[in-house]
Amino acid sequence: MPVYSLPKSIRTMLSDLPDGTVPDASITYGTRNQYGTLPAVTYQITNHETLTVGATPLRKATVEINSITNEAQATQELSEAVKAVLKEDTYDSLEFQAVVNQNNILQEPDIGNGEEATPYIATTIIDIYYKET
Amino acid sequence: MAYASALTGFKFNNVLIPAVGSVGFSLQRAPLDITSIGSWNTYFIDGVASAAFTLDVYYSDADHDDLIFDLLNPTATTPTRPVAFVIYFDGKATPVDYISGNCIITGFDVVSSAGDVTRASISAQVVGAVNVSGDVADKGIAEIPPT
Repeated sequence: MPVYSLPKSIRTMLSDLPDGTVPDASITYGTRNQYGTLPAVTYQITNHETLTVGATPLRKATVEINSITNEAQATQELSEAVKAVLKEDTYDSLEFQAVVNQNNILQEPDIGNGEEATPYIATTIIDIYYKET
Repeated sequence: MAYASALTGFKFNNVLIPAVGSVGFSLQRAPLDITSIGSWNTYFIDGVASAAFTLDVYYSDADHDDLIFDLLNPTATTPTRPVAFVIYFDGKATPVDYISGNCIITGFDVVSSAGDVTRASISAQVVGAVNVSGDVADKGIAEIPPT
């Protein structure tokens, strides 16, 4: 029986970013790879529910994607590149039937304890409607 | 016992309809009032049964064209109208918990809003007798049998 993994499928979708945009190792689930370099992309599934009846039901997942760089403009440009790859397709045996972009915000960076500015983060929130193939 | 709803399904003309979010079925047998004038109490006899159901779906024409076709083409001869339907409540190969009969599609409401996917509500009127897990509703003369 095939094993389906939504986090893996989302990562495959994000890996469609153009070469040189973000190192593959810097696309991580949840937290940023602290040994990695910027720019980086993190993502997290914040909600997951089943919508339809049947053996292969339609499911909905809400995913928060963070695009992270050292500069505001670069972060905005990276988030635009991320938005461009959030498309309907089949990723690792999961068919993303609809990808609805709910939000895309460039956040104000936090001030670190040494009063340094932490990296800029642009948050993109999407709803993915998918089913197993 | 309870059935996991993820294992249920809806068949129309013997075809499993995908993207069904929920099914609501209603079977009523409204009583007939036979109370006499001057009576101190009301009296009823069993009335005529009527059933209807609604489907809430994540709409796409590819998934639900069979249902919409029935609504748009009431004079079509294929499939045979009224069209056979089955609502399954268990996921067994030979279902033991189901409702079947014949129906005509009577309504189609579709909603598309920003930030969401397209949803539709499809309503149907059951024609003739209903079969609930083997118990067939009483039939009169020359009624269409449930399938």
